Amino acid sequence: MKTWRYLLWIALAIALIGWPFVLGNKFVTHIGTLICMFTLMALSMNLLLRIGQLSLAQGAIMGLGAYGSALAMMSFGFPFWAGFLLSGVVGGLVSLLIGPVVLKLRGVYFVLLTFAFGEIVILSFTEWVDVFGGVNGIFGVPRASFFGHVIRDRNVYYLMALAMAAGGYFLLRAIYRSEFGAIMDTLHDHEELARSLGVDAMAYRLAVFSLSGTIAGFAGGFYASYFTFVTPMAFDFSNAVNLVVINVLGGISSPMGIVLGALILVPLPELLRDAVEYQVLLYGLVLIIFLKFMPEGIVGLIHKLRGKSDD
Amino acid sequence: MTEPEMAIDVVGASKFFGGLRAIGNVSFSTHRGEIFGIIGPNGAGKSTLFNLITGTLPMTSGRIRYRGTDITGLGPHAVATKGIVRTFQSATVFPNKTLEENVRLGFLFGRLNVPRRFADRAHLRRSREEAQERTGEVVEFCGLTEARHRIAGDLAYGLQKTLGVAMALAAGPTQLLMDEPAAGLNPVETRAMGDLILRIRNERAIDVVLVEHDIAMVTRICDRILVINRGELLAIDLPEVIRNNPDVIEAYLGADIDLH
Amino acid sequence: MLQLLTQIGVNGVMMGLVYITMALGFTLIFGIMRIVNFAHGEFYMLGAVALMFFYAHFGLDYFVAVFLAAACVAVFGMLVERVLLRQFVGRELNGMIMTLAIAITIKAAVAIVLGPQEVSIPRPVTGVITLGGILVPNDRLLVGGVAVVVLSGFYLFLRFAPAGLAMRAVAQDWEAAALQGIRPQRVYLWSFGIGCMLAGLAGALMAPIYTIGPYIGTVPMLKAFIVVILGGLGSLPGAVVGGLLLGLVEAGFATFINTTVATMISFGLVVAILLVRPAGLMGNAR
Repeated sequence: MKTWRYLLWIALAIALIGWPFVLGNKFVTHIGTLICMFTLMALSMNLLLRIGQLSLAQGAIMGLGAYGSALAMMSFGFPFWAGFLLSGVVGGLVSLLIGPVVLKLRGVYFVLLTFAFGEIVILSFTEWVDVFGGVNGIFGVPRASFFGHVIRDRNVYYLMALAMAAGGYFLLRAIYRSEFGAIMDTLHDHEELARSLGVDAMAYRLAVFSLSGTIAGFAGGFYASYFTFVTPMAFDFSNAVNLVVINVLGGISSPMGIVLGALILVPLPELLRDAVEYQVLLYGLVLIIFLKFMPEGIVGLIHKLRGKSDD
Repeated sequence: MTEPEMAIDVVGASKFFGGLRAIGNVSFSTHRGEIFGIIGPNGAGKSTLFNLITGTLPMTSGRIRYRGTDITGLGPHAVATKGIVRTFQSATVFPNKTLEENVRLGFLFGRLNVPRRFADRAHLRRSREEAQERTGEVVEFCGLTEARHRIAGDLAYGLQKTLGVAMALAAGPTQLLMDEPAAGLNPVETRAMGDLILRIRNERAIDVVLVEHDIAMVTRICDRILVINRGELLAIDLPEVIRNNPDVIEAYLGADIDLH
Repeated sequence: MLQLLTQIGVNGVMMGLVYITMALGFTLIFGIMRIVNFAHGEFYMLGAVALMFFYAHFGLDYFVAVFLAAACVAVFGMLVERVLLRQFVGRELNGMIMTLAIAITIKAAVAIVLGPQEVSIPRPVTGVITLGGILVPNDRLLVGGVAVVVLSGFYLFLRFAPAGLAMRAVAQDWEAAALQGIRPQRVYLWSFGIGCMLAGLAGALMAPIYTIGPYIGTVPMLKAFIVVILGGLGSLPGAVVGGLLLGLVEAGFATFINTTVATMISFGLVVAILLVRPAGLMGNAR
């Protein structure tokens, strides 16, 4: 049984790594890259949803990572690896700094506060033209490079994104299976009990918030060097909404749900490129249906079906 | 006779909600090795006083010390790490986990009180190992062995309340603060809870402070009783003295409770 | 200088009245259902679109068209409440996500039916009147006038009508209201309907002044957010004060600096208020 499991994982890994080289379709590889990037972002949102704090500033944090690495490389001549590293540091550091203040609020107040914070960040990108390039953003961000070798091959970007998404996935899975995950779960509904047993709830919230910010920052750093441009629009509040949609669709209870959610939702806008409105409409309808009838998401649905077949 | 050693020492505690006084200048201390009861009519300020000690509510003025250390102004988790662990009036457990897992987490949450504990892998491994031993022992001590694999949320109310006590014990307290341990229990369960509290003190050497409505239980198991009325201290004494204190009887007359 | 200040004051109050109309519905819905209505801007947009049909396409009288537009939005809102939102009353986070989904859907549906472009419709009144050197465009005056009438009506409704009293009772204390025999279900329906009606009304009133398109709801929605947080989520008087405040501040900054700075400052104010006084300037902490 266990050997089978291992073989399955290895086969899956080979398939995930190998398919772009076999298929050789640039467009599909691009979509694969986007799926990985959004999976990573949705995982960062999942960390927050797990502790019951929906942040609408998640896109803005990603944007800070993206602008941070872009500016570091373009204005200060940072090599790619340093710029990329900086994107995570910026995301994490900003979260660490605003965390102690914003995490005091819960529920809708937290959502509204992060919303306002995100708007301020985006407005700064838009208005501070000298630094951030205004509405048009920054063009000509250096591509990724390793040891002086500039990466142009799309497949390599896909592999980078895949590595990041897989890293995020296994990190979250490990966290959720450990006592850290058990503590996170209690922060949502049973905080008082956890605190009575000695858990410093605020320290944990801050740790989760900062980790989430770091992940979002890295996603931003990748974004900048993959697209070679950054614009404020990409990081506005609808970005965070998309992450919520992926989470709700997949089911927030398991990282696998996030992967499924991203797998289903991310290709939609690319496939329906000529009919963006239809894609958005589909987004909305899917979200409504899931919220109303399947609040546990796809993963919940799978569990339900499995539970029934077991009986 | 030697002077008894102090456990919790409250000096001049006051609490105002807006302009309303809930607790006015209350001072008392509990002793090591004692089960200490806090009673009073409805709305007398029992719960508020309790929440001041646990750090759930900040005091308006006054100081609290525990075994000589000042714990004034500490939050609930910080109070807990000093060895003062509380239980809740309603059954408060992690409902989706098994009884055993609840107790295990009760132990581990105290050991993993801040995120950076996870960075110390040795500490983490040691804690997990200890948790296994500790869990079985505590579950057995509380008489929950039979139900240990059941989901906590499915347990009967009385069992859930006992589980709450077990979780608190697993956290390794030196002082237990119990918020109405008998609330919602039937007479048989109440008696069992009283016996459990006595055993906690006798066999585990844990000091107990409890706030309670059930006067019969309090007078049965407590060594000393504090009576609070309208936010002020009315009396602290031995149960039999309290029972016959005319002020206490008067305070309770309105509430129509039989002290005997 | 004094004249300039007065002009700013008049501009601010005119804008503030529209903000109040938006924000009152938003805060009413939150106060009663504990749902943050992220689709509020879309109901504004639907009001504008409905007006375009009734007034510009069917050629109805302007006032009749405004009335019909608001009524349509109210009915649609009640339908949405009944079918989609009722199960989320009190469940803040999921309720919020549901309204986000509703917002996305309405926006996309309108974009598909009408196309993404924005259109203009003729203004019912034109020209400017001058009072002691203060310029007031007639169309703005009309909007302000209608808003004042509707808001007064809303005030009287809450003050004296049985349904209005029930709403206030539920907003203040849900359980106590239920004990008095008020059926919360019905109150939810009416509150959401009235909240949406106010948004639709604001949209219908502003439609001839601005343009009409699927995405015009976003900015008014943001303003309603700001106003409601300034005044305190769920507080009706707070929405009035917050609306006037935002109108005046914006008018001032727009005159002396520029509108983006005004927006930045209002968001900064939102952050500050949420942190220092989450219940808002006028609200009481729950």
